[in-house]
Amino acid sequence: MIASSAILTVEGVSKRYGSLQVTDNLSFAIDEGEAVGIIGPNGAGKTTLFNLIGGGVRPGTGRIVFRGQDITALAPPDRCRLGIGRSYQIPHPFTKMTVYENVLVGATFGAKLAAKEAERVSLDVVERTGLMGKVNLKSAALTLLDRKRLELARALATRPRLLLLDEIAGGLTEREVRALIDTINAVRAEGVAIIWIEHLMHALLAVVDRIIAINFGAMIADGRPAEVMADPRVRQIYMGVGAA
Amino acid sequence: MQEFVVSRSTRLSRWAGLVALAVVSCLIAMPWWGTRAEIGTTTSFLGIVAMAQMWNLLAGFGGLVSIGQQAYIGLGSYVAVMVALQGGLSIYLSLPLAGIVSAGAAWAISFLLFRLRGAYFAIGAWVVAELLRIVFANTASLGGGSGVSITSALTGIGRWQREAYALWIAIALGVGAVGLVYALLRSANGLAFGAVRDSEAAAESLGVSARRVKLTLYLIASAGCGMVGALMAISNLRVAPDSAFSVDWTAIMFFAVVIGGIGTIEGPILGAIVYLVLRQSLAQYGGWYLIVLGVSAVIVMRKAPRGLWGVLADRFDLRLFPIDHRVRPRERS
Ligand SMILES: Nc1ncnc2c1ncn2[C@@H]1O[C@H](COP(=O)(O)OP(=O)(O)OP(=O)(O)O)[C@@H](O)[C@H]1O
Ligand SMILES: [Mg+2]
Repeated sequence: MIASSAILTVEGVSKRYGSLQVTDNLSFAIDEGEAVGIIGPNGAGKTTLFNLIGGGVRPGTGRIVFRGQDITALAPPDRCRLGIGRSYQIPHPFTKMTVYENVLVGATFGAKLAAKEAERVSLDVVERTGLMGKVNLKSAALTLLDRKRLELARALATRPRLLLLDEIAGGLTEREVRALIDTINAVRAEGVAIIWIEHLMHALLAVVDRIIAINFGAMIADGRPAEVMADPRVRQIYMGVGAA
Repeated sequence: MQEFVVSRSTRLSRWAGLVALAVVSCLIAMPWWGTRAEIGTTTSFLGIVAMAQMWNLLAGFGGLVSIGQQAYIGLGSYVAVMVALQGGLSIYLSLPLAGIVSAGAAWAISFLLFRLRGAYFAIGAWVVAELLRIVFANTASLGGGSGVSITSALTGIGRWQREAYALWIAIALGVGAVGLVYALLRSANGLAFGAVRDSEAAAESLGVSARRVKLTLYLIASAGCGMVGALMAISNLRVAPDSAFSVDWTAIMFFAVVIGGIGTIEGPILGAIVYLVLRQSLAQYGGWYLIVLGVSAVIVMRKAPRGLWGVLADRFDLRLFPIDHRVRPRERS
């Protein structure tokens, strides 16, 4: 079942908070360089899945394998250094540090680059995420949208092999969404695998070639976008919450 | 594409460096121009600067608000006592030894203490300090509860020299602590410290081990306090468990850091000055000075959470110890 080309394999992973089953026996594999979208209603357990892959939350049962290595017991910084970069749905900027310094943390500790190289990579990432105009601002001064850009920038600076993006397109204007899509597609073109949680379907469809739909922590569909969107259970959920 | 460069220091900081150099030179020469009282006050001021810098690292960056750092002041003092009473060895050797012993003790204690969070950590640290106090108070060979004098270890040394040596050690510790914190914060470590201070979750997701950062800060802060403890023994010539392990030490560190400005290098220095000025001017009112200290700390926490240095730095755009990075376009030549 585990293809040798898989970068990430999630095997029977479950997580519960008290009586609430937040992740329900999830199994799937992501290939090297693949871009996968994750959809599901609010509270479906999407962010929790990222916490499980990133290491902030340990699964109750199941195993997570990254590039052939069982990482289930590894702490988040070790997983980052192996090549898992993530952005947070609710941004966690280092508020007393500048935008540049925020990004430099990822380049220095996540990508483990030497000073000069970390500087070069950080400047490049700041430029690519459209933050150069605010590079010297303390991140406390950023708007929510710029904080989301910063989440993306920091994750990119760790030079991930797998990038986890949690709802970074919400609230952007149409032009900004197009710029974001270009940025993400450029990252993908470098061979980085991407898992993107997003409610904004047209943005997602411009990047991913596969969608996983989850509800109540369990997988309800996994396949090509058109197939998943045509799935009656997915349609029911999406009609049910009034989104399209 | 336009090119960018990253720079760090400011002109003011170089200028401030020269002023600092001049001040330190004057202090080193103090035994030749100062009165005994001035030398004594300067010695304790520099000791307070050193321990406040250490507590600032711990609480301001690691989020480890300990009320038990007196454990290491006391431990360092007793290392000095043991070196002195052993004979043979110079008591001045006890300084590095106090640092090493305190770091070792901190490492062992961290296994217990780091299981605790927030208020529990604070109280746990205090309990550890109390336990150490009780152990030393019950060690008869070290004078028990009433303490021990170490004058005998310094008989060959004249009073002037003794006080000059204590001052110079204090200068080394005070300036060393400021220099160490500055160097740490400017290095890659500083990025990790700031990241853990601002968001542990994000720091960890970006490859920074919050646990390792906290342990590093705890070991440094404890080693620093241990050396200050040895200094206190050398300058007071006696050590008693109740005062060596007194929670007052941590209260002083807390006051200096909070009043001056937590998370800055300048703040604890300013806070140490404010503390000494208040203590001197309120000395005649006895215990009242503690109440004034407490009330002023609370007022500063409410009205200026970034401390007096924060207020000054904002108003005059001051940065004596610049640690931030500035990105600017490369000038075309
Ligand atoms: N630490 C926690 N303790 C208890 N319950 C939690 C915790 N974290 C998440 N939950 C619950 O788990 C469920 C799934 O949360 P999660 O954040 O993963 O959902 P989501 O799919 O990302 O939702 P959204 O679309 O709103 O971001 C929710 O009901 C949430 O309240
Ligand atoms: Mg979510």
